[in-house]
Amino acid sequence: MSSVISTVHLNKKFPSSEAVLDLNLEVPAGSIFGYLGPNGAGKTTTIKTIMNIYVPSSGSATVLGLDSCRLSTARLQQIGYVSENQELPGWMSVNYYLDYCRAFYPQWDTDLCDALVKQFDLPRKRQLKQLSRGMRMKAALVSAIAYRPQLLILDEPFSGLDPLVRDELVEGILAISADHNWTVLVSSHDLAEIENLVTHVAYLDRGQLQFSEELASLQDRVREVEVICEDSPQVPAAWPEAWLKPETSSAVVRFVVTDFTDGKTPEQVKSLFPRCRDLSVRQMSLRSIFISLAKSHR
Amino acid sequence: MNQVVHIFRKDCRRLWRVISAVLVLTFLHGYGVIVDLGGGSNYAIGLSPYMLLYVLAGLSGLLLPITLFLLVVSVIQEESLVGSEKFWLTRPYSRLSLFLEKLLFVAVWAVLPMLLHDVVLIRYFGFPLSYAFGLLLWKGAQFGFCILVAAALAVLSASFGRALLLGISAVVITLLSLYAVMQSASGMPNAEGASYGVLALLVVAALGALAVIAFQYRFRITPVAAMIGVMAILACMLLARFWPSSLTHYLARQDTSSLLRSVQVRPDAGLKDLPPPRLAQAAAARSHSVYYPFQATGLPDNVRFDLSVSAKFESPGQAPARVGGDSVRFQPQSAGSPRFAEAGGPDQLVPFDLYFAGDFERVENADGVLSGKLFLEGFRTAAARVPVPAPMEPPRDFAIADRKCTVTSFTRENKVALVFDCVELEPGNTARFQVLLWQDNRPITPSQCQGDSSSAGSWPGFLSPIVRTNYRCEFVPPEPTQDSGAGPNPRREILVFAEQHAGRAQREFRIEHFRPAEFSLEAWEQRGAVRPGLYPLVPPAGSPRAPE
Repeated sequence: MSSVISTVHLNKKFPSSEAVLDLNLEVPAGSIFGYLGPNGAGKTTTIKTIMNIYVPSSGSATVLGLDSCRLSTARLQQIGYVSENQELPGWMSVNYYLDYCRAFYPQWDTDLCDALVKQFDLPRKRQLKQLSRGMRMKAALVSAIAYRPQLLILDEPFSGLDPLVRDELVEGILAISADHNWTVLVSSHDLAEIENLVTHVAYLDRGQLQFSEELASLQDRVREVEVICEDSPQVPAAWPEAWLKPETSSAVVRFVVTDFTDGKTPEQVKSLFPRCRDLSVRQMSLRSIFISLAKSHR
Repeated sequence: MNQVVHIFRKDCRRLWRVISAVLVLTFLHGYGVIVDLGGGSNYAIGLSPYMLLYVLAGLSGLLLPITLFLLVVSVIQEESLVGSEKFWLTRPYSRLSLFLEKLLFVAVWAVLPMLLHDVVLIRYFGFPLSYAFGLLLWKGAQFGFCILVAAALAVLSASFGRALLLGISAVVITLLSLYAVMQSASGMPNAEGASYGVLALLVVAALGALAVIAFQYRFRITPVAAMIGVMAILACMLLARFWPSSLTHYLARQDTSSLLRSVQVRPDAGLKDLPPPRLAQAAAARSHSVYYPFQATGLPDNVRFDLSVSAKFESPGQAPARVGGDSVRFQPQSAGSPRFAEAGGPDQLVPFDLYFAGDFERVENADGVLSGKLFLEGFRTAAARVPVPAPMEPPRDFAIADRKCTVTSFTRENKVALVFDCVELEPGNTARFQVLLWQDNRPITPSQCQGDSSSAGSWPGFLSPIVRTNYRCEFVPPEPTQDSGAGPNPRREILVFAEQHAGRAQREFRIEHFRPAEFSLEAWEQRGAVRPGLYPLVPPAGSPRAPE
């Protein structure tokens, strides 16, 4: 699977901070790629660098086969971008905004646009500044989808939206990307919705990439292990590096394993806790994985 | 091209209010100029629609520049180059198209209305457009400079308020720079030399603004663009501070007036029958003045020039002494020529004054060399004869030099008052405007004149291409006598003289065996060089000179 976005040793420094450090990221074509991380991790900076809004301090980013610094109008016609902080021209009505955007995209699909406006129940004649935040995000999404871009980049698209709008957006994105095999890069710290949406995830913390892989592989690899012992368990000194810090209570030890392998990991646990009787391994939600990893990195 | 038109239509739709304001204010300003200059203000009295329009037209002089600034800043900030959240940044805008669209917008809604405004005014006042082409280019350059500065402020700021703050800072810095230029030019023979420095400053500022705009549209890195702007301002300051006066002299030499090119000015001790020179007001200065006869050749018959001197006197065993002097007027023989307000000719006695007290006593009896520069300031002269309009008659139109004037008359307490209302193109170039009343072929000098005898030297106006001047003279005509045979209604005519600046030139001179003790005014009188007559005093600066 070829990469639609790739970064090589990408660094972005600001006078007061280093936002992205030595980032090597590959976003496979056709994937719905969740770009995760806590606030201030550098997700938005990465996306703005990819979109040529920022110039990299060093390293490079390639988008649709072209260096991000040389993104031409032809390439931008293949990229849809929606961000929570984007300043839309509030004086325009929804209709005029969509009409205005249409002229920039030869491949603009008016039928798709009309269908999306209808699906999202957008008031065509109302000015963008008069719309609610959710409605504005929908209008931005329509204007970023109606020309069927090869790559759709969504920067925190769901933050601050009510659950109903969130569901509508997620459903909309899922339906369209499934139909057209688009690549979608979505950054978020709102993981409950992302879990149903993404096929791949990457996790960024303080500007550094912690991992990047398929969601299924992540969920196979990261498991929660619970061990019940006969008496108060002792955490062994030789604790594997890939296992996160355990929590212990009277007779229970609970921890997260980030390199789980069927057969091998249970044997390894048993050898570390020889006096324990019950061992249970549970698959984790993306949210649980994210929280565990975030806690362990603090 | 499609993108340019598409964005242009969007900007027109977005900024229609500001566009309308610019158009209305431009119209009002033009109307105000016509009403004000065309004498229509007489009709704008009391509470009437005329009055309202007149007041609005007056305000337009202040509001129009502000609105134009708002227009330029707003259209650029529609696609702001500052910040990272603007929606257009992730849309397939071509930066070149965007730049061209802003250029088109400013051309259509700012430059074109002002050009039309100027053209209409120029035509309304009867000046041919071909004649005003240079003026239109010059005003276009001024306007372009202002737009460049506004655009540079707009590409560096995210909001109109910030652009305004930056603009105020830029104005303060510009004024300080100009002040520094004027100060450093104080050693020039005249302040005109400063204009080269100011022009150079404006060119550097314009290039700096252009660099900021081009950089922002190409790379959109605001801190670097701001740094370019700061460097341009620093370059202006350095230029203002260290502008070499030798460069001004060099440029002044290159900029010799074509009318004065053929003129030669030579010292000639053998000249006779020279007109009496003007004497300095102070008796001490008069006693220390020395003179030498100079002859001007090659003067066109409608050109005169004022000559001033910067020289040094060197004699064996003495330190050099710096020498200057009051300017002297050279002109073709005025006898038989109606073009000149004063009598005079091409041969004149030029005064030389030693700058420093004590120098005269030191070098009085020396025999040395006087050498230096002669600065010629040329004037093209013209005259017009106009019948005096009867009181209550409509104004009479006439043209003189590049001025179009109307004259009205009225009588009061046995005096005839003539009121001249004149217009000319920016920048005003009339150096002098003088009037004589002829009654039954006898000249009458005015008893009193007031108003603008000169329109020259003013800083070119930003908005109007027309300069207006008012001049009013009162005459006390003699009572008609039986001898005159004129009857109760004497034949009266106005003779108007006007002079226009015709550029400058420099010449060098050298007089061997210059002996101050032998070149006093009395000594030249004894040699018969000076025509007997009264010696007029040099009037203090600023007082009007009555025609001789």
